[in-house]
Order: sequence, then C-alpha cells, then structure tokens
Amino acid sequence: MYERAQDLPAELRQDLADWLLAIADSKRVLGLRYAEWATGAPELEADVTIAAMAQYELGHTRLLRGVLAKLDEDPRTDARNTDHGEWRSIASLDQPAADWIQVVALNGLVDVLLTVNLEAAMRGNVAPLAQRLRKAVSEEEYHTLHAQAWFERMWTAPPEIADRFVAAIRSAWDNCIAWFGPIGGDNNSLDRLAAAGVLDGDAAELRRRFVALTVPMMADLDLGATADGELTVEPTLEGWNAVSRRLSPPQFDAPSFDMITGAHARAMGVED
Amino acid sequence: MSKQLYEVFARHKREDPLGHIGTVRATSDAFARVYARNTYDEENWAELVVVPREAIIPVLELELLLDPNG
Repeated sequence: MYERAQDLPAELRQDLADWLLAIADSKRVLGLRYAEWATGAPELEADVTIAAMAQYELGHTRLLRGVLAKLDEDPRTDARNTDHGEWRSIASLDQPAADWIQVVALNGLVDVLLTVNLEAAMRGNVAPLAQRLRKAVSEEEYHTLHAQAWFERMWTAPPEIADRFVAAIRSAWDNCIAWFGPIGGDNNSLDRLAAAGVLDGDAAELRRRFVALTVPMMADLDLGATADGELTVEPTLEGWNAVSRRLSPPQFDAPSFDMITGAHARAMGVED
Repeated sequence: MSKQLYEVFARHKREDPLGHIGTVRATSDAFARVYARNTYDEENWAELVVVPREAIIPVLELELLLDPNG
C-alpha cells in the first residue's frame, strides 16, 4: 500500500494524475448538469434528489482534486480558464441536457462509469484513495438506484418518449465505451494503473464491469453488449486521446464553460 | 403513473427507537427508497426505512379535524 499518492514511481504518478483529472472533471461537469435540473425535474422529490446528487458529485470532485493537488504531475494550469481542450470530462457532458430524458441517460451511464472507476481505486493500493473513496462509493449507490428506477419508468413511457430515451442512451453509451479506450493495446493508462495495483481492474475489466452493470437496465434495447459485460463488436476509436480519453477535444457552450471554470467567481476576485 | 404516499422512519443509533421523520410521494418502492435517501440525508442515520402509507394498519384512528370529502 502506498501511504501517499506521491510515493508512486514517477511514470505512475503521471498516469494517476491523468486518471484523477479525467474523473474529477467529469464529476465537476456532471454535478453542473444535475444542478441545472434541480428545479426542472418531473416531480418535487426528483428535484430534491437531483440537487442532492449534484452536491455529491461536486463533493467527490473536491475529494479527487485534493489527492491530485499533492502530485507534482498535476496537469492543471491557468489555461483551463480559457482553453476548452484542457478539460477532460467525458464527451456526453459538453452540452447541457436538453430534457430530463437526457439527464436520466447521463445518470445511468456516465455516473455509473465514474462509480466503476471510484470502486476500482477504492480497492487499489493508494491509501488516500482507498480510504476516502469508501464514503463516496456508498453515496453513489443511490445514484445508481435512482437511474435504475428511472430507466424502468422510461421503458414504460409512450413510444415518443422511449424513442428519445433510446437516442440519448446510444449517444452516452458510445462516449462511455470510448472512454475506456483500446483493449489490449499498449497505451492505456488504466492497464498500467491496474498492473501497479492502483486500480483493481484494467481497461478491459473496468469496461466489463460498466457493461455488466448497465446492460440489465436496457430492457430490450440491443447495444451490442452482453449481460456478462462483453461487447460483440469493438468500437472504432479513431482520434482517441489517451489523456482525455475522448475522441475529440471538448467544446462547451459558453455558459457551461463559465460555470465550470468559475469565471463569475474570478470576476469577484475569488479563486476556487 | 399514480403516486402513493410513503411514510419515512429512521433511527440515529442502533439502540434508538425507529421514529417517524417524514413522507415522500413516489410511483414505486424503488423511487421511494431513492427519494427518502436523498430528501432526508441531512443526518447520519443508522437506519432509514420507507413504508407505504396504505400498509399501515390503524389501531386507534385519529379523529379528522376536517372532512376529507368536504
């Protein structure tokens, strides 16, 4: 067990820093996307729940950034305030969710992907992550239950709603599968982190866990994946970036970028 | 999709009695669990449960102050 993240060998510290930022950025933007629906959910209890989920995502961002800040390899620079390409959040979060249907798809796919990653680090050998992520993972259990309940409800919705839901799922699914990157290649940091014990599963295993968790929520929808976590066809990953884990650089809408970079706070002289 | 009322009960510590802390409205037990967890998560509960209101069997019934049909 590494008592401190900074005790890892240098090449692994860079991989860990990249992984931490990818997860932290996704949680930051997912928290924003949830918060945007805190007064727009279909029922009052869902308003309260999505607001609570937003808080948890932002709290987890803070936790992960705390570990990241201890590393000399922390990739964050002031360029993040102006350059969208410096952000590493998963592609499905670039634009605001257009409707609650898309929020549910993000909840069931992006949120689960992030939790699979947190669990892998919680069972890994970096003590600050193994210890601090325990509570975060337990909090995420209810995010998954929320998604499962809404997925079930969506499948019984009128066809027009169900069709839009399928489109939202397919879009988020492709981005999530791409996030795990090439399986069995030689440039996937998840494999290196797993080999060193920082994560308890490599890219193939984490993707298998993600697929196995999400496919049972899909009712009759065929995503080219099996319930035991296998894909029938490997995705095309042309343009995949090993650091951002995306197929193309992020391009946020202006209000979102101001929000995630804290532009309004900086205008008041306050730094995050 | 119709909603039903769920009563929410919780206790802080194992030795505490289970006390009523509120209600949620939900279309299924699954939603009731999630909504109760997120609505009443301000405190560090040792146990949190939801019970469909209609599952509660009255023993001494409260006399209503207002006519529910009026």
